[in-house]
Amino acid sequence: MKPRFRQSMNWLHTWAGFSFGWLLYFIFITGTVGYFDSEIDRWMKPEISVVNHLENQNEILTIGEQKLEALAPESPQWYISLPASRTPFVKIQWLQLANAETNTPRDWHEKFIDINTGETKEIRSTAGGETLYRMHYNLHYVPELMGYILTSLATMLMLISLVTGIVIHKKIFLEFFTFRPKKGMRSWLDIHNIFSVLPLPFHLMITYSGLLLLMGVTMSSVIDVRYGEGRENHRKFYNETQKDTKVQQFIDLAPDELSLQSVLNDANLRYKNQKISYIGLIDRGSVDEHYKIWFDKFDGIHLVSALEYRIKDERVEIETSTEKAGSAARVYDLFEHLHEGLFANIYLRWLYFLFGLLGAGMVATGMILWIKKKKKPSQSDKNLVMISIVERINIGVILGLPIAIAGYFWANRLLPLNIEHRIDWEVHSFFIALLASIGFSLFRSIKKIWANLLWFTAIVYMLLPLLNLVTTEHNIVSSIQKNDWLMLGFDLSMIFFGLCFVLAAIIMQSKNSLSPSIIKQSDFKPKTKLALKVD
Amino acid sequence: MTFFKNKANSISIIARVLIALIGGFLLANFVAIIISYLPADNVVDGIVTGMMISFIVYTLVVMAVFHTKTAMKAGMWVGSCCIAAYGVMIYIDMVINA
Amino acid sequence: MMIIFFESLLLVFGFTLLSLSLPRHYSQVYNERQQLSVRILWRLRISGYILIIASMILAINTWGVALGLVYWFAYATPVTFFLSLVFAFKPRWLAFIPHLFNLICHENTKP
Repeated sequence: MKPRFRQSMNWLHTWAGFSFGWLLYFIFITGTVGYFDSEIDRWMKPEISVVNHLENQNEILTIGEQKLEALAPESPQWYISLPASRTPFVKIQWLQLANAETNTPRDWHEKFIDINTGETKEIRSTAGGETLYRMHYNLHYVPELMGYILTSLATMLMLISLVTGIVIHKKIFLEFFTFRPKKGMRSWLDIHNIFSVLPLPFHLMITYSGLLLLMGVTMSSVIDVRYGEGRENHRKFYNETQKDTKVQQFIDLAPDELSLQSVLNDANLRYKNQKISYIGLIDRGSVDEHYKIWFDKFDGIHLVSALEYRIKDERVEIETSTEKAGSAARVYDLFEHLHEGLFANIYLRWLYFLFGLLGAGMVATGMILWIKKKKKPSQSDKNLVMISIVERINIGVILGLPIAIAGYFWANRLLPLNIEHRIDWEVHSFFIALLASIGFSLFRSIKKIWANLLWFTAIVYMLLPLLNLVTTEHNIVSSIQKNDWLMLGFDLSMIFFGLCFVLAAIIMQSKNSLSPSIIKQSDFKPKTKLALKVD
Repeated sequence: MTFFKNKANSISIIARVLIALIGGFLLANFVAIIISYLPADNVVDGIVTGMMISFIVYTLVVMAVFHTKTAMKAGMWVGSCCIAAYGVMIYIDMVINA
Repeated sequence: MMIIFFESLLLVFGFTLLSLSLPRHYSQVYNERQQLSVRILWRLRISGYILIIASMILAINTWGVALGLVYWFAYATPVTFFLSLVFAFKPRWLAFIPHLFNLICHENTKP
């Protein structure tokens, strides 16, 4: 490889990586956490009564139907969530149409049902795991469109960093397993390589698929030129890309017996090995009224969406979608499913989570390398101050994001249940915690920031199960007794992450105590050219 | 960072960034539109294919822009590719709609 | 469960054998005095590749092409990550693996 090519790609890798590094770290961390959005949702809504033993689905359906009839008799769309592996509770949802007279907007409503009592339960107003997940492409405090564009731009730079990184890594196979600890800059480079090269298939997949998922917005001019401009045309285009190849068959059910119950029974008979997770009644009361059934499915990348039951020619017909109609749409679908990982069972989901963290580590170590390379004594005084500020903000962001997530969970438990805009305030707490970490890093002595923040993060995570115990009726022991696996899993995970941070804090403190008297070059403002040459 | 050293280069860097960002985006869009003409019967599929490939084009263009010896050369390359792609686009459009 | 165990085992052994064919890692695991002869290098390299390909075949056989490849990459990554940490801190732990397959014989090494 020509030396000038390697040099130019080195420059590109450094600057493409650095320019949006903090945003990319934010995207990686919130997206990674988003793989467990349903599980986090459960913890953030502790009032939900969890269903763990095999309840009679028909009974649940009856209760749900009765409640929907009572609460939303005029709604054109009804949905009932049956207990599933990631969502072990019963939920009803309905669409409320806009009503000019009563001044109600078009909106979706949901209610959780306690099947022990058959009544709906009041759940605290919370942003939930879903908001954490959505932040990784919507960002926050900016209009949705700007969030999409910024995220896409960051992702494009990520792709460029990945490709240039591969190009400049001379010994990519020779140094595959290489990590040489305690060698300063060399060790940091080794760790950056390990975080980047080992999960490289995942990084390439997640980055490229991320770009694809937003391409309807970023590359919309292609649609404008070749299909048509404006919202209507774009919506038409989107619907056409989503066209599935469908398979229809008529079944032996009398049309007047078609109801939620009969649909449930029929689907259960046909798919004995699968669990129904969601059932919907769409276009209620119209000619096009039909039922949809979704399954709890974790064994194949292609998410077969649903079974549709409708009356056609005075007979009942089932329609299944097999896959997308267009071949390009199939490729897009594959990337979309790989990115979202909805098909993953619990083990694969934890692996997705691990890879996301490795990606965040890749970005973080990259930023640290950039800063370390700049901290040469040959820099002018002004530059050294700037680099010192960047270094501090860097630590504030790297540890600030885990602190912000913990702050989000703390806010969920501590904010009073009936304040206005509770959801907004939960998210504000996230960003307040992040800003506080950055602020702390800007004013603390540079030698102490890592250790201090690591200990703080450890404490803030370890105390979460205690907070749970104090503020709700849930705790680790009661979760085991009630078989509330999601609540238990969350509490135990928080302790696990807390312990990881404790380990990191101990390692950092032992490193600090080993070298107390070595003056860091960055703390040194060289007044003359006789500055030390020692690295 | 021995590649870009002195102050005079900052104009060159800014130029390259603009050429890469804007020129690359233009070229990626043109190539996407050209690719969308490929499947004869299914324009929707063609558009999706074009959009998916455009990101690879964008990456390659950005890498090329930062590799050329001077920013001027980068500008000329990207500029002429854009004009060529635009020409191909117009030509295909004329042929299809004839 | 058993499949996952065998898959991981194949990957660990395969990647270890492959990496031991590099002088850098060979000298980390065995005595510095033991030279990596060309014959042993190729034995290690080929058997490493065979095991890795076997793990890929096992994955594709169990889960189909698409999901199988996903699972293969999904297991290869933490395995290689774990191996890189072992090489950095406790390389002697891996010394027994080539002996399992009778690929090398050192008169005075303890496995």
